[in-house]
Amino acid sequence: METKIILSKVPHDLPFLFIDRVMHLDEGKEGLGLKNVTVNEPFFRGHFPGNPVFPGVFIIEGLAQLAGIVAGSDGNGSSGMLASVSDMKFLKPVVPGDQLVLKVVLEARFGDAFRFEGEASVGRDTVARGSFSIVLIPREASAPGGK
Amino acid sequence: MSGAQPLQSRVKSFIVRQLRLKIKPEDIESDAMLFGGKLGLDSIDALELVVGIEKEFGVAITDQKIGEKVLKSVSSIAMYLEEKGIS
Repeated sequence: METKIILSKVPHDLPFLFIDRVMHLDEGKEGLGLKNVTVNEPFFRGHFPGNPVFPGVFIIEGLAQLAGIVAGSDGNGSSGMLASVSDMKFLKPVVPGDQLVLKVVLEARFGDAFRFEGEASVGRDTVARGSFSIVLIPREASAPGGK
Repeated sequence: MSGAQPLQSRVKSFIVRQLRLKIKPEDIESDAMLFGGKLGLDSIDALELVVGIEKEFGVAITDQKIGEKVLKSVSSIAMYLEEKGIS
């Protein structure tokens, strides 16, 4: 799934998309996504000066965006919104040039709330892992005016 | 209904632990509404309870309608667990 299609499924827009490609999607179960980290990204100027580190919160955001697609965010009816994060660990810094592989697996669902296990890796190294929940909400409520 | 009291206590301890509530298990009344009541639990807490009940008691709640009935109060959770053979 290419960037254009991803953008049509999530409520976000550039420059706040943290998945470049969805490599595997088993709707309602799991997904695998890719994020290429480039030094061009403007936040590296401040995070940190002279020492660019990809912010951990953006790893969570990427996992949540992917989870939204797995949960059924379709760009028309509903959008996935990050609702809770627990036991998230950042094990290694992610730096420009890294190719971040994001994996989410649905752990449980109750109504419109979905709990996922997420893991991010670069090469063979796991760089972050943890659990989080998203809630599917009607698109109108998440993006006034629509996209 | 023998065994109901210990199971209810276990459910109360489980809820406090699972949701990291800043209250004592015995402060939860067995028949008080968990959602929309004074505990102020929300839909994410419901999901956490569903996940936790499966891990702690080995009982999966997959149907939302059943879940809504089961998660009403400590007694309804305990009753459901008892039906599933937990004591």
